[in-house]
Amino acid sequence: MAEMLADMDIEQVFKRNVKRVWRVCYSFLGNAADAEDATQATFLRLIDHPQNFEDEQHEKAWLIVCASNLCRDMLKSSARTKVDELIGEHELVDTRAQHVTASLEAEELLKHVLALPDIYKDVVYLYYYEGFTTGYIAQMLDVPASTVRNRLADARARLKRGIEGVK
Amino acid sequence: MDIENKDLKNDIAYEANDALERELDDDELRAQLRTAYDALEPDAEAESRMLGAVMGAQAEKGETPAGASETGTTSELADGLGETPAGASETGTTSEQGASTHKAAQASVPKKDMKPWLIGLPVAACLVALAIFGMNSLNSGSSAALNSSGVVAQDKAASTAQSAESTESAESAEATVATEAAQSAGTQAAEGDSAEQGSATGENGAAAESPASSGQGGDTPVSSDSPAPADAQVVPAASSGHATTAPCEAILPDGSKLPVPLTDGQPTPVDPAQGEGSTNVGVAVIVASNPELERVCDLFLSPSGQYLIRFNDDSDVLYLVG
Repeated sequence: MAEMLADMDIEQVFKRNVKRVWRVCYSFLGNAADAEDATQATFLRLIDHPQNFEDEQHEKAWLIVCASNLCRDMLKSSARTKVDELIGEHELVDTRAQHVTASLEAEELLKHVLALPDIYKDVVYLYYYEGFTTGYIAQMLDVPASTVRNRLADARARLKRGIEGVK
Repeated sequence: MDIENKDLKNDIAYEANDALERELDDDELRAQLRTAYDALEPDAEAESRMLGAVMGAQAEKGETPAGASETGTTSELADGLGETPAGASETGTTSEQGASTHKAAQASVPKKDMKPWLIGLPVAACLVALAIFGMNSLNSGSSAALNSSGVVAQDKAASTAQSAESTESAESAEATVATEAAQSAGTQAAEGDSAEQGSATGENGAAAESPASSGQGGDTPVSSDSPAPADAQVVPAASSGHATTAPCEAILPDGSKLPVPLTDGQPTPVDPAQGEGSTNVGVAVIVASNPELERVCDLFLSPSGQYLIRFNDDSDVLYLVG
């Protein structure tokens, strides 16, 4: 284990993936501070459990799945629930606005992505942003490929409805 | 038939999946989502913080790969000791520092160089503790030496009274001191001279104003059940700085010294008639080369101006001074 870690340059891994991991975390948690914590925790998890990645795609997939799981854990915690109650939707949008530099259209879409149920968020990101196939996503998430496709279809329909509703 | 059905089912499922895949493969949505996600990224400061924390965690794990950094804590330790390693950041590499700061420290603070500091800190703390302990031992040692001669009671009395002066309980503290001093000097309250001792108290109070005294309020009333008017203001030779060159000397309340003539190694008693009409003027501290003679005793002034002392173990006998 130690040898694998020594072979792995954590700094390079971090630089290659930090934005990606942060995006995933942000899409789950909806604010920058929690996304930062979760991103940090993801890389700490990698340090604690060194992986022998086959290639960068494998590395990317592992980090995304790890980040997603960590975010789900955070969301499950009672503390997080209480914080959500206190923060409220208004502040959530304000916080997010500080980190979004896209057009209004993209920002609106992002809002819909963030509003998706948690089970859709990672598959949407993996499929539409990272370009993984449904079969590969199924392996990553350890769910049947049909489940991935159904989740994607449902998420896509929700996003389309949201976009068209805005238009 | 079953086989045909199975194949048919598979074909239908395949067709459905394929159709779903094609439907999902929405280039427009993909482009929009990419634009949206691309706009979402951490700021540089947050990235630096995360990098610092991650690298720090890895260094703490002790599996620092080549080129990776030491922990921020280690750099902070170096800073704390006032000796920043060459090239390292003045502000260390906490997670709050930027990535460039972190790199500066990591490039120039190899792990092995930092270990002596980690070891040095507790060692330095131990040395300081030993030094303090040693000084305390020296102080207590000198006190113990005096104690063997009975003079330390006065020393203690003086120091106790000094500390008591600053508090509202000075009165009770002095009473305690008086008790201690009296016990040390062997004063016997039961011998019926407490009235005489009581009169001496006031005089001792006056003596307290002498330069040699420690400046205590000697006129503070001593509790009525105090066995003796012990004068806490008489400073023993050791603490008042008097050298004891003579075999036996009496140190008077004003700090002056008078020799005590010895006969066969003992103070010389005077004729009771000579001591008649003498007035108690306080206490004197006897310092002598023979520790057995060292004690605190009552000091009298005869009508002829001769100082006399009275040991408490034979209170009727007066001894010559001067």
